[in-house]
Amino acid sequence: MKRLLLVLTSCLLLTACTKQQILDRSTLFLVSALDNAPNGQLEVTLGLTKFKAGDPGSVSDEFFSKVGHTSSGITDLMNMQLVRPINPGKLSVVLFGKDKAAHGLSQELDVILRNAQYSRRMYLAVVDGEAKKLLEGNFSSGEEKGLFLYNLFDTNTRKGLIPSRNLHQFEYSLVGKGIDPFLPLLKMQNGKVAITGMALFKDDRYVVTINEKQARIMKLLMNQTKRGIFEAKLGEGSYVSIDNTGSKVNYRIYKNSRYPSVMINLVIEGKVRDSREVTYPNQELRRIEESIKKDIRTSGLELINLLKEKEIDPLGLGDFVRSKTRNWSEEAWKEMYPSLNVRLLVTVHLTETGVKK
Amino acid sequence: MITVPQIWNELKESSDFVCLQFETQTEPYFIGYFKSLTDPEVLDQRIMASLSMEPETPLDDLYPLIRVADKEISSDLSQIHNKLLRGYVAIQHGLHHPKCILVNAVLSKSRDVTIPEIEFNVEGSKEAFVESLDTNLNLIRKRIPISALRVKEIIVGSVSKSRVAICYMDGVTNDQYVNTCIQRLENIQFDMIPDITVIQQLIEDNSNSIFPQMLGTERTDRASWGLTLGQVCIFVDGSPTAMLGPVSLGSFFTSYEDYFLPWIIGSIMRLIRIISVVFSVFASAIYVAILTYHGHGISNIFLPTIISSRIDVPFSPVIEVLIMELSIELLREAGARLPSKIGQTIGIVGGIVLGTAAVQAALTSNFLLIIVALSAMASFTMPVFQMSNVIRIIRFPFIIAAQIWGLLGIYICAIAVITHLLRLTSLGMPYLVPFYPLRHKGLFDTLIRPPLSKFYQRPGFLRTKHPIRFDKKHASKKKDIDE
Amino acid sequence: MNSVHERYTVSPYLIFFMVQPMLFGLEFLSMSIKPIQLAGQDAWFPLFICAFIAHIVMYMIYQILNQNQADLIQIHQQFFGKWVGGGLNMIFITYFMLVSIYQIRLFIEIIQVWIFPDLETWPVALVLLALTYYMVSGGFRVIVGICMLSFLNQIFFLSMFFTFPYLHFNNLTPIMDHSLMDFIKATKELSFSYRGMEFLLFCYTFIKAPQKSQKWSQWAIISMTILYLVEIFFSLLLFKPEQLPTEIWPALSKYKFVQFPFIERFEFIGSSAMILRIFPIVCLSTWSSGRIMKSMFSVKQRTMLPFFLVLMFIAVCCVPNRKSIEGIQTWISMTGFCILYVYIPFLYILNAIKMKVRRTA
Repeated sequence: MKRLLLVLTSCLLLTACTKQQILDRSTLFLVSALDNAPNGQLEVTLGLTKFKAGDPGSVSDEFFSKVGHTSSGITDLMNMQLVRPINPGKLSVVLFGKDKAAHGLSQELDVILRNAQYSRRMYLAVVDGEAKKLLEGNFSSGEEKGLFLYNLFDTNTRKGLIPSRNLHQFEYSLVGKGIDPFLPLLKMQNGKVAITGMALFKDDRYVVTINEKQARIMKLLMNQTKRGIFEAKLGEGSYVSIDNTGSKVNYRIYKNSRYPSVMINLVIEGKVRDSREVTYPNQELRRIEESIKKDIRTSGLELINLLKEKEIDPLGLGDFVRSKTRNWSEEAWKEMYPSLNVRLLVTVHLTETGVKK
Repeated sequence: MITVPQIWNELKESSDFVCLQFETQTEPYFIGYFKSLTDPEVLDQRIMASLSMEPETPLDDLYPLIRVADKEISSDLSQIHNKLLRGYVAIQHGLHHPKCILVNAVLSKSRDVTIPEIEFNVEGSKEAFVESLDTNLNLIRKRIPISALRVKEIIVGSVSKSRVAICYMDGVTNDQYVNTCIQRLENIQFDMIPDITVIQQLIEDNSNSIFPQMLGTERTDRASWGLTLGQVCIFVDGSPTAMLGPVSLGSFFTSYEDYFLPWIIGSIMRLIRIISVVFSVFASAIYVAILTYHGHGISNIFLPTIISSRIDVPFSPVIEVLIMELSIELLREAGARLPSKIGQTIGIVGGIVLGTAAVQAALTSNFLLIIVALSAMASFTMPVFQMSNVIRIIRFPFIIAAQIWGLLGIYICAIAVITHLLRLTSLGMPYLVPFYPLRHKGLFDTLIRPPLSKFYQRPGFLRTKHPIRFDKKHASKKKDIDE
Repeated sequence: MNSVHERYTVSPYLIFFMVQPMLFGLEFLSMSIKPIQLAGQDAWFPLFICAFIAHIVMYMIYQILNQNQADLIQIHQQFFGKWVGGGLNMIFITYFMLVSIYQIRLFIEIIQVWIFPDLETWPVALVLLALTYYMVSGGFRVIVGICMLSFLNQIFFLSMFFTFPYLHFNNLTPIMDHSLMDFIKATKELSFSYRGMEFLLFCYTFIKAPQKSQKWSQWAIISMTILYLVEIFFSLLLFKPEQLPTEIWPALSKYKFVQFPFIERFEFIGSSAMILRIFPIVCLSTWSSGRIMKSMFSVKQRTMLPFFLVLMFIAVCCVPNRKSIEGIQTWISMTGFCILYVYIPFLYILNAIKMKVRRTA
């Protein structure tokens, strides 16, 4: 009896011990936007969700913004305007304004990485312009914007159209030596949000943008892909498009001269998807292959030259050289990088032409 | 020192005791019996008839004349007293003669053997035990007609004087278990034994546990299967349930139908049952934990479904779950107490009408309704009724633990339950065997139901004296192709 | 030979399930940081050296125990007399207490950081120690059962599959790019991970046919080495060496990549499941302490048990923050290092000399 009493009392004592966060009695947000504000301050915009009883399809959101010094302080202040306390755990997409990105992101990242509730698979993106403006625009046709953006990034990285870049990968390339981070770039186009390219970073500062086509080439140069359509010009006004069924890329290092040189070997397997002028692509596979090869090679080299010029290394060439060199030093590499000799070897194999010859 | 006339006088206090005086030329015969206990046919045609044919014979000569198999001459007064109370007829020649003839004229009224009601099976025999001990032993003997089947009888209970029978297979069952059983039965200090469950509670290793440490069954096939494997089987007169022991936790998950189905189907059924039990215990507790503390863990796609079903509910998740769980228990209890036809109506009214109304009135989320209904159904997949009670009750501590510390509370509660199970024994055998202590041969018939040809060994954890059931080589000879 | 009734002994193979969780404490969660900081991509090499040494120490433990057919409590008293031997036993009690305090406090810290930031220390400690009481009062067999249950924790290694898209195999090369000094330092850091074998010295008499159990103990070390190897490799592949020092528990951060259709976060499932890892260690150390007290002062284990638990409860509540937990950790790693790699070899040599003397005499 005594023991039972003890158990009961301790149970009662314990009940009040932890703070509850009942899901439907707290305010969630899936997307937040960070922008620069005057006097070195920060403007945080949160898309707070609103659910309707009995109707899972109609989730709406309301945007709250505030200016302050730290984002967690701002979030806490926003509770003053809300009936239900904010539960930050569900954050899935963070947007940075272009100005903010150009000023450096490492301070803002620290907040996200330090919190045990946040996922490492959270998506980060840079907005061309002000992130707050983009969020306030009506682009998702009624769907909750956080969910919309999350799905936008999720499907596109899964499909392999853009190189995937979540919080972990960003931190990895930010902290890692011989590798620089990049993030997808969002832009409003005709009232719709679109991923229009990649924002490349030097350390934690945004430096330069590349367009969608270059982003795809970058994806090809970075890792294996299994999807994506390539267009190639065959001649006067005749275009062929190729479905990528599997591309492989490997890097090789040549250390015979004083400076190492890197060779990128890209092999693409594909099928003909769309042949506008050529009636029997089967007979002209060679020509098509050649032209695609040439196309990818030129744009690839263009991209690499741009990277060298800006002294940024999103491909991780430095990291690759490190893994092949003993006593690699970051400083020496940084000096050498702009003049690094990078060769690109592209091979294209077309295996099928669909159900027609 | 009491004498036979004193017994007559004492028993005459009850109005259903009859003491006839049969006058003869020498001394009169006294015939005593309870008319509520004796069969009038035996009394009239066997006893009275032989007395009236030869009224002058002395007692010893009368004895062979009574054409009843179960009779004896006794001068043991306590035996006379006890047998009279069991429905024997005592015949005394002369009031001060110390000897009596005791003739069995017991009127046994018992119901017929019927189909099992609790452990109902689609396949297999439809034969269940009844309240009469002799009928039950008859049912068992019919299934195991060999001499190795031994039956020991003990009288238990100072008032009810219930006959308890302990059955076991000589040369198979470990003596330790038989001796433990007999010893514990003999040590029982209790007056009234209305049912075998009372005995179960009195001889269990740990009577403070909610887990049954003996397996009650009403199926004759299950009892005889257990005996063959080397378990002890206990019957009590007046209870239609046999009790098997020692048992491990796994036995409560096996339905005997598993053995009647092809082994692959049987194994799948068993797996479904195990999954459903796990679901039944944890589902509503996990609902409470996630909604109260770990809401950010729900995936983005699933989030609107859950929140929009719950946003208007005024209670916190734990109150909501407790209300729902209690009302399901209420429905079940109400259904069990009513005749089956009304019970069905209660089920429909409660399940459909109340459920829909509760959701519409925003008293509960329909998501929870699904969880609670599913876990209630899952708890009924348990083939042994005692265990399905445990599954239903054990949910509540988990729900409360989830409310206190979320998932951590559930883990702590689960570890406490497992520790309890580790400490439990059934007649001295560890309860979690064959998982702990790990007996890889015993694992054979737990998670899956292996093919019968592979069943050539008795489970090692029962420590049988003869572990081989049949010759394995003889049973399965592999043939070559086209041979 | 100490007479322990056969009913209370356990089969030799269960020693595998007992030794493995003993090695597999909560320090596992952060074990990959320091070796990788010191030896980078070559951290597997010191691990192999360390595993080799651990096997030798295990062999020594069994040699000492087998030749004396007694547990360490009696060996101490035989070798060093009542007072010195008793003093050594007391050191072991202190060490065991510290180990379990460390484990419990570390677990509570993980809960406080990962799940409930505002959770008080004492209620969790109270509940955990109450459960420990329930387990230990069930006897040695129940404790071994708990050890076996904690073996289920290995399922969580499957969560590594979710990190596959994020692995960078470049991080493994160049091989052998570190100096000998780095390797030695990393080996010393890793030796902390093989702490826990010493419990065997106290439960030897509870093993049925103890000589046969050496095979299982060695297998436990091998399995642990494999787990450490997996952990180190995944830490290398998933994180940059520069990223790792900023993490406190990289093994838990790996759960942040797990995703299921219903459940998107795995941290709260994974980190509270660490509870399974603390019980074997806490139970066995309170049990061994109780054994020592019993054979030295002939006090009942059942009376000593609440005393130890209350002591631990007070101590756990007195450890306030990360810094003091790290303080205990350095203390334990120092003591553990001395016990395993200095004291046991010393005992082994002493025993060998004693045996030789006895044979010649």
